[in-house]
Amino acid sequence: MIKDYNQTLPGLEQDTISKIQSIRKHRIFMRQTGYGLLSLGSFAGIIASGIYVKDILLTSGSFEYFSLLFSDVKTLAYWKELSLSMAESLPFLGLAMLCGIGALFLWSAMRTTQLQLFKKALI
Amino acid sequence: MENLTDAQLIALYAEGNHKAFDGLINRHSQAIYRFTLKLLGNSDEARDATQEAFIKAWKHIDRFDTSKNFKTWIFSIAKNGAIDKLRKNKSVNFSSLDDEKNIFDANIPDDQLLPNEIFERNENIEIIKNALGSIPFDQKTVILLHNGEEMTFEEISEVLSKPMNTVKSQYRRALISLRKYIESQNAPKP
Repeated sequence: MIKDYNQTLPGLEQDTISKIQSIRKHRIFMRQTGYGLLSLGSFAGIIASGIYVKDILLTSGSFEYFSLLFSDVKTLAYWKELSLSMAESLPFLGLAMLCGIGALFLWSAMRTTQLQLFKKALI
Repeated sequence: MENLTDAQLIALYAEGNHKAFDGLINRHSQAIYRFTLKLLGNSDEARDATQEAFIKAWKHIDRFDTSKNFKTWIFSIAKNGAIDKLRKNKSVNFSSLDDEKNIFDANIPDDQLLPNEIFERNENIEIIKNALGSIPFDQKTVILLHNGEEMTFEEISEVLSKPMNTVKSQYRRALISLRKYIESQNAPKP
């Protein structure tokens, strides 16, 4: 008898699937927006830190060591001293920052693309 | 998808096939709807409770223990959702004594209780509905799962997270209450 007053609701399955689908799409949109903004921010960071590193390289004299290295092969005989001087003149902090921001940009851009592909597969 | 078990569908979903979860929805949503409809007594609320149960299951599917039964898990989520809705409406009749008395009740013989007879003799669905409405929520849940969804007591104990003896005693007491109610309704009035 309990089963006798069982009722079904036509379209319930599709409604539930659609609801989950819309939540899924919203989640993807939010994540994509987040990763997209991170990509843009890190891209701006790459430009800023690139300029910063270039300025430091110009003022620290690192470029002069490079030009010396390529203009006179004899300097290679003093490679130990030369490499030490070059290392001292390199802006490590700036370069590390540039590499870090570059990696962040690549990762966020990759995630944005992945989510775009996933969204397409979902539709 | 139809030939796959729930566990296989969950495994497929975990591998990235999002259609696999749709298979679980197609398989269980009407049963969940029937169950919540009888608990809540309102079609709109039952539909919402069903959808919310599946959304909750979907959100937490990564936490699901695949060695367990998906059906009992989703029923458990639906039951909790229904309780929340009933609490909001403040119309739930919880039996606080159920757990304390189950040890004694588990040994009571129940030869005189024939659930099918109780239900089948009465052609008036309204009487059954009212009878179910008159018993405590936990007992009603056990009756609905056992007689409505044909779940075993073991499965019901998983849904309710209660020992099997408690479930069995709740079932017996529910039958006694239902029988009393139905008999009082069918008794000739002076």
